[in-house]
Amino acid sequence: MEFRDNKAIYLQIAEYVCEHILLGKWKAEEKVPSVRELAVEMEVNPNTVMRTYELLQNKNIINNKRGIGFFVDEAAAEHVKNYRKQQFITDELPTVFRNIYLLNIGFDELENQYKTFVKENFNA
Amino acid sequence: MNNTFNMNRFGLLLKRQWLEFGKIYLMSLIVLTIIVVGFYLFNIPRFNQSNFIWNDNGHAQLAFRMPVFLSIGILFLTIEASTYFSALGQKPKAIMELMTPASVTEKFFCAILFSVILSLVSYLLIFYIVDSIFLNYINELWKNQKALDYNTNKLTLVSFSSFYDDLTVDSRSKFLFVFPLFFSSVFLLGSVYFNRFHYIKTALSLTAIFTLVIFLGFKTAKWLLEGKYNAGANERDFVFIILFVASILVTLFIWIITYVRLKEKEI
Amino acid sequence: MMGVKMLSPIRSALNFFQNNLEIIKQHHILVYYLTNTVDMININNLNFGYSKHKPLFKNMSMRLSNGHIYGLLGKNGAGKSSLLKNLAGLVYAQSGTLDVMGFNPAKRQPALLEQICFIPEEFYLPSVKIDAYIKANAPFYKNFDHNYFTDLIKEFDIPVEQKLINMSYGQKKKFIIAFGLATQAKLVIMDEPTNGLDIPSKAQFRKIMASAMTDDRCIIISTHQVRDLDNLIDTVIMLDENDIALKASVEEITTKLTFKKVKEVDDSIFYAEPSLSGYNAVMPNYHQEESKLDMELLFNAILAEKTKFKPLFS
Repeated sequence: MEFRDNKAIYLQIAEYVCEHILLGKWKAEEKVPSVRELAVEMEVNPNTVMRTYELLQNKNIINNKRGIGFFVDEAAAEHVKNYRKQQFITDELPTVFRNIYLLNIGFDELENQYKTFVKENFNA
Repeated sequence: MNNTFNMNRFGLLLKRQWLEFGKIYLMSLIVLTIIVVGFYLFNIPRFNQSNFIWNDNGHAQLAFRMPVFLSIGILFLTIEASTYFSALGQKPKAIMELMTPASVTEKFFCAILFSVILSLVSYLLIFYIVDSIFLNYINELWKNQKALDYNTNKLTLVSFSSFYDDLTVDSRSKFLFVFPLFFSSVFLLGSVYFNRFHYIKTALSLTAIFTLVIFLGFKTAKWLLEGKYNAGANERDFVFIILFVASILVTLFIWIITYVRLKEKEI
Repeated sequence: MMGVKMLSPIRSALNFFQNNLEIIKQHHILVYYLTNTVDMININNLNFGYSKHKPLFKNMSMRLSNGHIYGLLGKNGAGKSSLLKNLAGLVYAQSGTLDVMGFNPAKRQPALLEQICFIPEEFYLPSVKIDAYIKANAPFYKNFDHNYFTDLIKEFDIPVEQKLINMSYGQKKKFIIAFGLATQAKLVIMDEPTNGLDIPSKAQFRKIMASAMTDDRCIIISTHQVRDLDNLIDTVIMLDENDIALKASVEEITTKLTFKKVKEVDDSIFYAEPSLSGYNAVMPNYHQEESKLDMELLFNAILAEKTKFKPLFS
């Protein structure tokens, strides 16, 4: 995997795992790769993957079944979304807000833009 | 785990070192055999030659053998000894040697066994084999030929003595058997001590030390004994014994230094 | 006088105890190190140099434990290789103590040597095929894993039928790495392991090291090619000016420092290097940002601004 330069590796691996869960590649209650397996795949230190798994465990995205390994949580998809939402609010929203403020964009204009975007991209 | 000497590990080490040393060793044995055979071929006694050296048993001696035996022997033993630890002079090789999980003691005895004992034994064996084959051939060639034995003043059937007969004719020559040990110990030390040009450097150092020791020895002997004492034949045996014992002691001492140098070798 | 006499039985008992302790220590030492997370290496006040007047390390002290991959960084001549050689017992310190798994490496005892996998930058392999090499060398290592070795050889794509001496530098290097790891040695020391490896081999190397890092192993890798290895290393050790300029885990570093691109350099920034779009900068991590450690930048930053970083990491 190519890592980006701007974010801690263990967070980038967390994103990778979340992506797999959201895309349904790793299904609920299925076993996820062991720390070592994922470390080998990502070419990183197993301690880094361990840190990722601890984080994901705290977010209830994966569970540790003692002696067996890590499993995707029943409600993992839900928890991933929560985690992502929280990340978006803390990491990306401030920049967006800053630009909205600086460029003096009204909320009405913003709403219209948002609706067109959704229509064009998701046909909703 | 015994960290000083373990027979099993020593066996493994012998096998491992043989992989590297063995090839050089076997090749040098072939070269050695060719050289010895060459000397014999060039020195087959001709029929028109009649002035043999006769020994007490009524055998004719082949005079070229002794110098050939000594000079090639010294050369062979010292070359073998000075190649053994030459790997330690090259960093990449030395690291692999030193990191091999065997103790210094095991590595040292392995060196002695290969470079001193094996080389000496194989040299004696090769010389013996070549000599016996040639004697068979030459004696067959000289069958029923007679020459004058100056010891008895009689015409005698010519038969040639084996080289090891020549060696043991003089009872004092047994003392000489310590010299190969001495020489190979010096060159083994040289191969640990010097990083490059082991052979030349060792040879030069040895010559320098010898010259110094002999010079000082003569000077002190002269100073101590001048005009007081005349050496007789009996004392000559005594001198040989002293030389013999001294050589053994010096050899042991050099081995100890080699061991310490090996132990303290840094890369 | 009386006092001394009365003490003597105690003293002899103590001596007896100490002697026995030595024997017990020798026997249980490996079991101990294999079952606990402990200081695998303990360096205390190490003084070392190739000549008396030019010291390389002055009173260096450091502890390294198992379960880590340490990245050893330093300028040319800072003593990376020398530190590794000290650990392997290939050179001797002038003073101070060096403890590797309970042994003094300078004694070169087989029990320790079989627990060290040392991959030097320059090495020599004899003119034999892999089979013969394994037959001659593997038996020295009680735990040598032949299946694992075969796997590694396959993974690394090393030709089995070729003589070792005729292989390319990269192939030889991969071979000794495979051999070293298959010995199951607990201490793995590598001097510039990615030097001479081609691009696919570097990726294979990273995968192999990721799987080789077990909880009972201590792996130390010296490198100039930081980018080859920066995701493998979990603790950075930096040598500079005869001592350790920094020893900290990646987690500790990124908690205390943040690495990011900035448009302008101000006073809060410890060190910055111009880049395409502004500057790559290191600064204290005021806002608990989770940035990616830029090892090269950190390396240059510490060389340039040693005093700024000292108080953060002590």
